[in-house]
Amino acid sequence: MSILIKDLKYTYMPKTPFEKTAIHDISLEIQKGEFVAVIGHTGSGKSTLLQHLNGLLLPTEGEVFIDGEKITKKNLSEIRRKVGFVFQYPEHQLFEDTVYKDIAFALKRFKLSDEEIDAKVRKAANTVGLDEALFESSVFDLSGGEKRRVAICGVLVSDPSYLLLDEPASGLDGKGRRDMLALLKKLNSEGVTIVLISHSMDDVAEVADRIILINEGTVALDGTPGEVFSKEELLASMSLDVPEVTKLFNDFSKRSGIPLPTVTTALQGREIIRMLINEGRLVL
Amino acid sequence: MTETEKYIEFNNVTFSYGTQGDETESRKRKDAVKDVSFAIEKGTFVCIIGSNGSGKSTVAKLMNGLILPTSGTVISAGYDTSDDQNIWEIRRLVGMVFQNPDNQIIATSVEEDVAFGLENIGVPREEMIARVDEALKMCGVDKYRHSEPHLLSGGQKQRVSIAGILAMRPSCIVLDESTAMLDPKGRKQVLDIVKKLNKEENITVILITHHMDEIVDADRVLVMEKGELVKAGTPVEIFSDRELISDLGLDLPPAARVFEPEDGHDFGETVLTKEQGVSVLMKKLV
Amino acid sequence: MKISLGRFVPGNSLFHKADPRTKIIWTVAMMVLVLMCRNYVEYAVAAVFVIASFVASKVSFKFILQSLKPILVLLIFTSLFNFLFYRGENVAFMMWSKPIYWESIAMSIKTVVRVVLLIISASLLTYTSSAVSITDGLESLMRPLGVIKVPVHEIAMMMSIALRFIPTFADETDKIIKAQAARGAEFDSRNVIKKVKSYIPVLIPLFIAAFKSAEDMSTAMESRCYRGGKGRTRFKVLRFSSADIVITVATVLFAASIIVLHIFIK
Repeated sequence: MSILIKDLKYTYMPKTPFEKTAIHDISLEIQKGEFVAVIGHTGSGKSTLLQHLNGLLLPTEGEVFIDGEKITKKNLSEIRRKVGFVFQYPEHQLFEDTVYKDIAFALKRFKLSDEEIDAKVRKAANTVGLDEALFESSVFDLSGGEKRRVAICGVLVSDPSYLLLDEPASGLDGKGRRDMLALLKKLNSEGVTIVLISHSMDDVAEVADRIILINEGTVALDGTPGEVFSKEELLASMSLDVPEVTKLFNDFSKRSGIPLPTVTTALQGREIIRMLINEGRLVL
Repeated sequence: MTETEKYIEFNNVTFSYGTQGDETESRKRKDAVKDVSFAIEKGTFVCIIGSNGSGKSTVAKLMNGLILPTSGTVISAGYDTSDDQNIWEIRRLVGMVFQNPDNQIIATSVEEDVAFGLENIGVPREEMIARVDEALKMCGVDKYRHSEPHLLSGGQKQRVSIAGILAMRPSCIVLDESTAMLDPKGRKQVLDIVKKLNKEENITVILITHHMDEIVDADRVLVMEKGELVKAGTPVEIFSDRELISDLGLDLPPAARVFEPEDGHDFGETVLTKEQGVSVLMKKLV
Repeated sequence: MKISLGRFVPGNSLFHKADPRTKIIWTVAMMVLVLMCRNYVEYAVAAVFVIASFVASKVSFKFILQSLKPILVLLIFTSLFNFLFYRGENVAFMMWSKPIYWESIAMSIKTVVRVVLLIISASLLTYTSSAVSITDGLESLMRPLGVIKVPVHEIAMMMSIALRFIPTFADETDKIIKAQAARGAEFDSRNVIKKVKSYIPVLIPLFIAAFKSAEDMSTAMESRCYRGGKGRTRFKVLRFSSADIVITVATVLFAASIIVLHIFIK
């Protein structure tokens, strides 16, 4: 059970003067249950890659398999039920007059009874922590964080095993951002595979188990946050940052001469400090 | 503090939507401002933070008379914003950059967009050319001067918008969540420019944001919540107020999270940036 | 995404360098002059002039063919009708035991030539001028109408903002279609009513985005001191160059020859 990508290549507007190869030579596998972050600067091709995972784009060359089944024009409906995609701006998908109807939209095409639909909508709302009192409100009156929840809910109703998200936390305030990351963590612990795109290295370090770095249309690095963020200079050459905390401890390590592992989150940073205190190297 | 040093002054300002009776319920609910008073000094770098819907954007729009207070007064650049006569001078002096880069570029080419404000205030063409040129260069976008705006990145678009304001020779720039839709690179470029304008041109900068790492260099931070000004102070004062931070659900800057005095490791100093973090650690090194 | 507006192909020809006002007036003049043509000599002169203009514009012949294509079917049909129903005096030959007259053949040829010349002329304007410059040209030409209270500035501002937003909304539409497709919306139904209905989830978010853009845009314009056309100066000014003189002189000569031919050949 996995997402398997083989020798993927995609060219925009082939055979025209505007022809541009967005991604090439990508082969990788994402196992069920992983929490993957795809990073790369704007225009690196990460969004093009993500759109191949549920058939929004079909490869110019190469193949993509979902649980062993190759994505083709013919099985899109089934693939999209299995692989949900939440876009960056919920405004791009919310359209029904009430929250409830909007969440239920994806279920329309399956011949389900009203009770079955109702059960699925309530279950999804419960998962994302959306207050049922909002069901009858207009989608356009919601706050930014609520809109995003409804958008995710509208994808979760189809019970996808894989969830793709483009910048799920951007534009949210502090609490909204933390709640969103916690929600994704929770979904992942319930067995949903998460693949997200993010520009925030701090967020990525906090939630992802694996980071795939895309540069100039192909995979440049693939590993744990610790592995990827240990290459500060390489990332800088691709105009990417490492988390602020990583820089802090790198600088400290350099100046103090104490060798330290790559620190990617505040939590790890606190552990390092505790360790240094216990070893008697730091005295408060 | 003399009168002229206060560049923007809010005196018991209240603003509520729906006073004309034609606003929807949802608009009434959010973004109202209640009895807010503060003063911003000339040449300072001030940040306004608060959760979504706390009234920060309403405060911004009150600053250059895009909306007028329901009660109380707003004095901008020495003029009362509710006095019709001064409104265009206020808007020239207090420029505003908005959130969505796509929705504020008006013209079909970069240089024409930078000239848009100058055309509106009737600057003669010869002078306009010189000012557009200067503004494009200051914002580092002169190589795109003939480009169509939709071909630029978000960060480039926002820099074009700043150039458009700069060409008007303002003394204050208000950025209303102008970095929210940008990638880290675009965000940094925009911040570098406004910081430079603040330092070198003595332009007052008011930055509305929810990226906490953007406010660590501010001279002053105003914190809004539910339409009220709940605290004003230096970044260190704001971030050392743990109760406020947790009550409002605000983020701490990443470096600060490492030094939170929770499990008994109190470093006795508020750390906001990685530089401060490194120096605190170095001090405590045995 | 790069979207070409209209059919503008950038270049550096005489026509590309000319002022849009010259090109707009040129196009109108060509329409009138081509429609004035009555006999073969006049048509020949017009054809030579149009072909010369086409060469001077350096527009690829492929593009011209492209704009002729949709009209081609229409031309074939009108010619056919001409052949079948026109009654003249000189029979050329018989087709399916129906007489085809010389007159109807002549008429068909004239119609074809006329339409082809008109389309080439109009294409030269759109292939060598961007939509923006055509708008600027129209605004400048319409300015005198301001005297009779036509809101020329406002119309031009609206057109220019519309042009500025077309690529933005095209991008937006693409994203919305993808977002809806991702949650199971299908757009390829063969049933027309179903197909129209399937676009509702795209149209509603798009309209809302458009309204939001309009609102943001008007706030941004107000914030930058926009208060209508009064007292406004212009950054961009249209200037005539030597290209305009060349085109004007050539067109005047052409017009004169058509008029002279018109008077002398009956």
